[in-house]
Amino acid sequence: MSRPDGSSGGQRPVGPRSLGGHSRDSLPSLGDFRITDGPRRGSLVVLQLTGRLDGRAAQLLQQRCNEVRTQGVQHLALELSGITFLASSGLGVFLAETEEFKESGGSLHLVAASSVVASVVNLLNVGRFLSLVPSVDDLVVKNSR
Amino acid sequence: MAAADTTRSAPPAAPGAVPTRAATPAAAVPPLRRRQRRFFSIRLIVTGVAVALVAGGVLGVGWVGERHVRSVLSTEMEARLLMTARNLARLSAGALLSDFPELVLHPAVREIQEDHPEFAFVVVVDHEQHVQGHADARTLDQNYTPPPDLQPLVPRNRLAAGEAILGNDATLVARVPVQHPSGGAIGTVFVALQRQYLEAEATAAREEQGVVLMGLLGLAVASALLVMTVLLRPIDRLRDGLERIGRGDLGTPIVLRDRTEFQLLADAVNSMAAELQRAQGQMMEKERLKHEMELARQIQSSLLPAHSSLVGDFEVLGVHQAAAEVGGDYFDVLELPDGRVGIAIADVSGKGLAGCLVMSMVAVLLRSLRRSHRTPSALLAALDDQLAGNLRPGVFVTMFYGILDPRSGRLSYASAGHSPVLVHRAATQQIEWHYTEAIPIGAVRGALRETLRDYELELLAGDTLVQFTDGINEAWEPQTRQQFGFGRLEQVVKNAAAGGSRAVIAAVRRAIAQWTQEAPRLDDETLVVVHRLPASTAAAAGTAGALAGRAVPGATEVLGERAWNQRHTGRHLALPLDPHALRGLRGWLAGCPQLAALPEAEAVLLEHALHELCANVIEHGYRGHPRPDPTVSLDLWWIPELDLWSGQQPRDPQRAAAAGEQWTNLQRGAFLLRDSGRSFSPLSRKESDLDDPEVRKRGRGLGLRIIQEVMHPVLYLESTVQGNITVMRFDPVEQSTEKEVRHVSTRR
Repeated sequence: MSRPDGSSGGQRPVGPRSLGGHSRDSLPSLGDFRITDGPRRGSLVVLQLTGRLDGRAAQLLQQRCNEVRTQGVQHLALELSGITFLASSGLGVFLAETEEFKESGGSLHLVAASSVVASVVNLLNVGRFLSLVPSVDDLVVKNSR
Repeated sequence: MAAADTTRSAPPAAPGAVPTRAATPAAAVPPLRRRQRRFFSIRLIVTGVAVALVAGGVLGVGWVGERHVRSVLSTEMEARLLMTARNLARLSAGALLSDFPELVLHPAVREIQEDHPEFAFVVVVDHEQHVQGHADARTLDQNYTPPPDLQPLVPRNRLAAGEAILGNDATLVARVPVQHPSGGAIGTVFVALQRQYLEAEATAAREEQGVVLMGLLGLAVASALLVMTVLLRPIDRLRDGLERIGRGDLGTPIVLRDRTEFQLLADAVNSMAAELQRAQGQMMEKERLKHEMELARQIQSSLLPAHSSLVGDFEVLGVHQAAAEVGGDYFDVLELPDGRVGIAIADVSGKGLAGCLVMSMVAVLLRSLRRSHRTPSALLAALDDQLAGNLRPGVFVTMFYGILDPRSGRLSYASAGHSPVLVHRAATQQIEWHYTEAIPIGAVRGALRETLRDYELELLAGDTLVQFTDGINEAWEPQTRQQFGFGRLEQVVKNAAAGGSRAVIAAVRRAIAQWTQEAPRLDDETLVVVHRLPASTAAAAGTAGALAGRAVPGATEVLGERAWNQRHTGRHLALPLDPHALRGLRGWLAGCPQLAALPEAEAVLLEHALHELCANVIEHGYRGHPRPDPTVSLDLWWIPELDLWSGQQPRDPQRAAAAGEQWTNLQRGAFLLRDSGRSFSPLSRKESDLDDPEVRKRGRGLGLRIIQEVMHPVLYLESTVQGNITVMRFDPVEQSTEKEVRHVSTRR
């Protein structure tokens, strides 16, 4: 029987935002998942995601997307080159938020998807529902045309 | 201009402001909150403009009139002066030649002065400038000097020689010479008018004009106010009407009896409200239909079996994909008391909630009748008897019902007007179509029984039977409007049959999606596939099922127990009840010697699939369980080379061989998960239709897809003596082949 490294014990990094108020004991810590604000490009807001995007991180991402939307931001780009794991709940947030942004007349773009993200998206053949772009520059150029 | 506040709390204080009305009491809706805004009364604006125009007009006319009056008056007075002076000069001509001219001239001048008090003075002088005629006798014979500041003026009347008009500030003077009868001047007459008299006349005229002006102004104000009040009366009604519309009352029209543009405005507002009401009605109807569709979808989905069945060595799997407008497709796999299995598939002719309700009737009736009728035709006839009275004219149901005996491999079936049955024979690689002749249920009352017949066919090892609804063969290619048809279906089944039920269903769905270019479905697509496992796999079912504690174990129990008994040959991982601990899966997988050589992409997906499975069990199977609990763990094993389905060959041996240069079949094996939580099958979740944006918005149901795309089949044994057991087959060669096929098909 082998116990995997890091499966329990040890110090866990805490995410950049405190998410107090949840009483569910099943919530794991955020692990190495981070959301940082990228450079804003005109009306396009960029968020850089890094680390493991699993269930708990997906909740944080969902919450952040909600905040961004309620602030009136119409176009959001998620920079994904640093994503090392993408759980179904994270992919679910991508799909759901794509629809939400579309409904509010805006758009959500997934930029520079890491190989992990691309693998999961291809596996489920959901790329047709998402806007996957190689870089923010491509997006800005495309929109300016 | 006066301005007033329009809010209800502060009624207008300024004069002339438009009065506001209280809110309609009938409205239970709170009154609209309006921003306080000042406004200018149209009445006051129009009245002010009218007053200004009238005043300006009257003053202008008065000014011009006065100038004219002055001019006429001056000319007239000058003429009178000249006439008086000339008459006096004529009189004076004789008098001055007499010895005592003053005796004639003095009384004459005094008389003139008395008759004309407006004359300042009247003087007659002789050629030596001695006064000979004057109202004052004391000045007679004195030397006369006219007022020194008299200036000659431009005459308004024609003057004779020697005549002049002179003037200063106070007087206007006519100077006329007195002529000797033989010519030559013998004296001069001066007649002077007081200018004051002229001014008095002009002022009197002006005062008269002022009175007229004030009268006209008063009249203008009164009539402007009156006319505007009458004209603007409809505004209050219009405003009340608009406020009612704002509160959502679209049914009460604005009633005006007006012959001005306000009537047109009211008509326009009324027709707008009517349009709004109609649009609102349509929107509500749309919402109702949407709700009804959702309800229908839920009913339909609740009636369909959630996962595949392994019956003996038969794998029975069905799939249903609802159209945009929910249709009435239905399928079911029913356990029968003697170990046989009933397989039903039906298509109701109606759509929406109506079609769905008929479908649910069929489902309920089928479940209650299945045990009381030995043959499929008897069951369909009984269904027809029960349903026919309840179906509206024009609504009918096509239905296939078969009874599979897993021991003999024989399927007896009957079909009420349903699509033909497709059978792929593994031994000959040939397709057979089995047609039936009966009419649909409900088509002709009482006639079905006459046309129904039982048919029988035998499924040998590796054979595949496919039954479907017309949504499959009638799927349209958007450009050519060509149907998918039986021929293409045949080809797809032929290519995929070796992979079993799941592979056939996946292949048909892919082919249909490609054919329709993923356009929205016009009809439900339903497919049921019965596949008899190859002989070697089926042989595994010969052992007893101690694990499940069942007297007569099914194939699932047998296969599950076989995996459980082999777990000691594999590698184990104990996972605490903490989703965070799932991070360790990657390292554990890398430590499994047989899996270490997996290409990076395969390893990543395998980790994802295992993560989804474990996270689901932790979340749902242990919901509410106190944490942390060191005594509880999930146990995961990788059992290499365990292929419970070893009778199946990779679908494309050549491709597998080519791939084998990079990795070998040693990587084929099975994962086994044991948990002691509440039974929660990863298979109990229905596959969601991601083509529906509402489903995507929920963002759920993707975990199951990941598991099934990476590992299949997945077996689940709940509540065994060891706990819940999940067995998942992993075959990277097969996965890789399937993915390549999909890649090609999605690239198109």
